[in-house]
Amino acid sequence: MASLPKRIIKETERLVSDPVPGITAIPHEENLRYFQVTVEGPEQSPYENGVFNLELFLPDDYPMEAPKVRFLTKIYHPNIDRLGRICLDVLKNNWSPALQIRTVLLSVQALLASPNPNDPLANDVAEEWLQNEDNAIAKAREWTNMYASKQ
Amino acid sequence: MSKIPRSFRLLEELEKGEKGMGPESCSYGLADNDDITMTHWNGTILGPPHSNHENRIYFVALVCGEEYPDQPPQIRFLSKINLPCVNQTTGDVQASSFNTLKNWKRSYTMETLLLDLRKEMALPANKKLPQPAEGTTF
Amino acid sequence: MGNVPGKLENENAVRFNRSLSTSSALPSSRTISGGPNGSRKTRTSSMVGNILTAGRRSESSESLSGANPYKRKSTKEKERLKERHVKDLTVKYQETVDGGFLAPYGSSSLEKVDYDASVVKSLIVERRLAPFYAPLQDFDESWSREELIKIVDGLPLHAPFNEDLEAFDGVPIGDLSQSDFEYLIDKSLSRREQRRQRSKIFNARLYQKRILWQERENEKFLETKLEAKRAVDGQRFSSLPSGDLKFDLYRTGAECPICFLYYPQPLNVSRCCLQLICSECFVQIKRAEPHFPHDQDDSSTPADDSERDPNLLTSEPTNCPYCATPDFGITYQPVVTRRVGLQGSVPLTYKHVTDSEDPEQKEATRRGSLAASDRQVVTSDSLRPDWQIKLNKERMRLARRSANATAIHVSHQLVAPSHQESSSLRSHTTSRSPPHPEPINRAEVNTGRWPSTATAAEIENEMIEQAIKLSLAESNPTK
Repeated sequence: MASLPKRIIKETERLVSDPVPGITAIPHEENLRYFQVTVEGPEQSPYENGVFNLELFLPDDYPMEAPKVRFLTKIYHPNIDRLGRICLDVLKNNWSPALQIRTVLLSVQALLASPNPNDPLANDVAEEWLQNEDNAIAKAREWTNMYASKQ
Repeated sequence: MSKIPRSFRLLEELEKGEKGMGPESCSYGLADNDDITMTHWNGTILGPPHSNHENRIYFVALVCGEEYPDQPPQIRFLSKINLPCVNQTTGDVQASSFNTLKNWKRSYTMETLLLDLRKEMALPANKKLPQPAEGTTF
Repeated sequence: MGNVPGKLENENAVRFNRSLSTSSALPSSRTISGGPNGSRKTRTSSMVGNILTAGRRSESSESLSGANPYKRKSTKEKERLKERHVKDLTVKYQETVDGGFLAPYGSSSLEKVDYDASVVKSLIVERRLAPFYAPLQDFDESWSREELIKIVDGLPLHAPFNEDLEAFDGVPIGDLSQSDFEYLIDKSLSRREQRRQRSKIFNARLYQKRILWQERENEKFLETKLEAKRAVDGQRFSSLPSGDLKFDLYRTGAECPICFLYYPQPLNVSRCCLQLICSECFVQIKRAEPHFPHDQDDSSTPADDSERDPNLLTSEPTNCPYCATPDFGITYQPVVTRRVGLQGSVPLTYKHVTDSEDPEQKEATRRGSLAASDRQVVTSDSLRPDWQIKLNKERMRLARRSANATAIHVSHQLVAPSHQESSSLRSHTTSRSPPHPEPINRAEVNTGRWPSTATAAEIENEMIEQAIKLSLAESNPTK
């Protein structure tokens, strides 16, 4: 078992000592590259008051390769599909090794605040978003209440 | 060396299956696209040439449990097939008589399983076994 | 792993080592003389000459075997090149530049460090790229000189390897001292399977060899350090760093913002935004694999690559990890008073230069950004000069595959109805398809391949064209 790279150790320590508001990331005891994550829905977004569970994994080549992130809580969002996969540039082509777990999760949170139906992952949701935004937002709110409520 | 968690491993396999990056002789995908646990999968195996399986397509169902990939998936033939490692009543592939399941390794994937079943069909001892009518199911 | 007997190195490498060790005993200059550009030529020991020409020699031998870089290399030739690259990744304690090494410290996978080793080594010797230093996990300001030297003394040449990789689990490696491993391949397998097995075995063997070669160097390093401790006359250990050197290097280090490890200063500096980056991280930053433009390339659109125009394949230069400026590059400005090792003075005789709190260094510090084409700048692309060839090869591969796929598909449609099933294989197992056999829907098969606007005549023409290609391909025995 190779030891955990210093970078991952330091990032984990800093996530604890200097947490990001509205975001938690705790490594699994048996796999320190695998994090259980919660992200609070941003204020004034349809996801407000929701707490979303995600999972995050740092592959072997991290930070040369982006972390893998997935929503575990069901969410109605044009850039997140039914399996919780996220369409986010920093997780793919725009990943940079200077980014960190915290910056990635902040980007995820920002994606909740500004959905981009023009670059969809969930086509049906994106269509609804473009054709009837009010309806889509209402639905996103409903799903947030249903699946991501704090209680 | 890090251990990729079950879900991300399954997502990798799904992507490979979806993009058709795997070999031509087998395919696999989620049985239900809404299944966030990614437990139930469908697969197909194209019968190997120069055998009684030639040009046949076999349908299988796979179940990737909580312990996957530390533990192998359960795999069952839906299409009827006559193979020593397949239970002739249920279609289940029996771990006791199929090496890939018996000596499962974490690095194995569903693709490994499907391709190895195909190899099983092509074995000299198996390739000329009489087969049930095409299209029949267990 | 010390129990594998025999010589692994080929004659060349042995000769190479020998010339290194003899030359290391007589580096020409002991004193620091001249400015940063002072008498570089006269200092060139045979050691440097060897390292640099080794790279050049290899290039020319490659071009001898075929001036055309697109020419298919034989499996053996590919294996030989890969093995040589791994040898180049071995850290050797005698090959130092300013207290650092010519090969990386980390045990990254070979894919990550697939840079051109002769280019990187030359750049380090020319002091245009920071050498690879052994990093500290942490640094504490309060360490005394003795404590720091002790810690630096304890640093290995190379990070430990993971001895049993899952990927090589159960792969036979045979006798590593023997170059032939043909006998490990199961000859009852199809040729394709044999090739696959061969590459698996080769990679597993190479991995073990990599460990072995590095361990051999580690042992040499350790023995030399022990001997040096006992010996009164330090002359024979001139490649080892002096106490002053160890102290000077590590007392004012910096954390690389990417790996968070602590390295001697100066580190490389990004050409655009003047951010630090260690060489270990820099050499791992490379172009993404050739891909289709992003707007089409999305995991949500499951498309078969063989259906796309290969000419659309692109490959962009890397961006700066800090400010995203395209065409990432760095500069490196060595400390002129610390020029030791290859093309420098003897590491063992290095003495701390008092009264120079690096005034020269401060003067030399770059303030503005530089163009990627600037002479001082080392770009990511320059470490992997074959990127264009790789891109073209990928385009060619895709073009071949796409022709084959269409041809196979067409042949299925033309030959016999029962064959259609295989071409629709994929569309069947995607989700929601019923988990039992059902009649093949011809329309469904077609929509996957042809634009709905294509007329029957167009499709037919295309099909005939592809069928001709297929028959040509089949008549070619090498296929």
